[in-house]
Amino acid sequence: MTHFLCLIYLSFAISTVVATTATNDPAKILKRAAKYFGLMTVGSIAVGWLMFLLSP
Amino acid sequence: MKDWEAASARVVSNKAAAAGVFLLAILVPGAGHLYLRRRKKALLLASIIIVTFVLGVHLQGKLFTFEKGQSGSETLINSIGSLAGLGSGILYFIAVGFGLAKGQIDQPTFEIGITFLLSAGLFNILAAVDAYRCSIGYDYDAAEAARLQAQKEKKAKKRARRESSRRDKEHK
Repeated sequence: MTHFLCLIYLSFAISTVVATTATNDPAKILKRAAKYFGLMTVGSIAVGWLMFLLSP
Repeated sequence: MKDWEAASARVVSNKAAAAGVFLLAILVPGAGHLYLRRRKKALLLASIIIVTFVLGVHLQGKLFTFEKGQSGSETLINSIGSLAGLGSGILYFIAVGFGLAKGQIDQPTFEIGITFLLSAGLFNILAAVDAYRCSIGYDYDAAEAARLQAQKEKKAKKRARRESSRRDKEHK
């Protein structure tokens, strides 16, 4: 559970920092942060699940 | 396109002052943006960097220091990790000075702690680069428009080249 929460927090932090440092427009920041957060969360959960399935 | 804090923000007059803003931002998370009177951006970035760093220490992560390892690759990893950790600026020196982030390898969260500490440093480097850009009055929208235009032109050139090679083949 700790690992999962850390993963979610890190996805949030990365997406927010990357979006904030790429523009000064708040609407764009919000839109990009949401997009990156969604992509990272879904992607990392999918990869984690795949590794779990493939592990012996 | 709307600038978040265009009314209050300031730019510096020369490159040396911009480099000073960069150094300030590296040394204290959020201070560069604060100096440029971009309070919202400073608050957002500083809070994320500090929370990530504190979580990294709490999760028993280890901060790398410049020390010679048993092998060359260990020394290299130590150096790269130290550079990333140094990005946290004053937080790094406080943690190393007080012996806070020595890391406990037997803890299950040890590696996540390291990830958080390194991420905090890299976030602050990104924030410092942004502070430098803001200080010289970098136009994000114009840069993005130019990048998109360049991409479009590249695609058009590629398409034209493909078209001409296809035509050449048909002639032969």
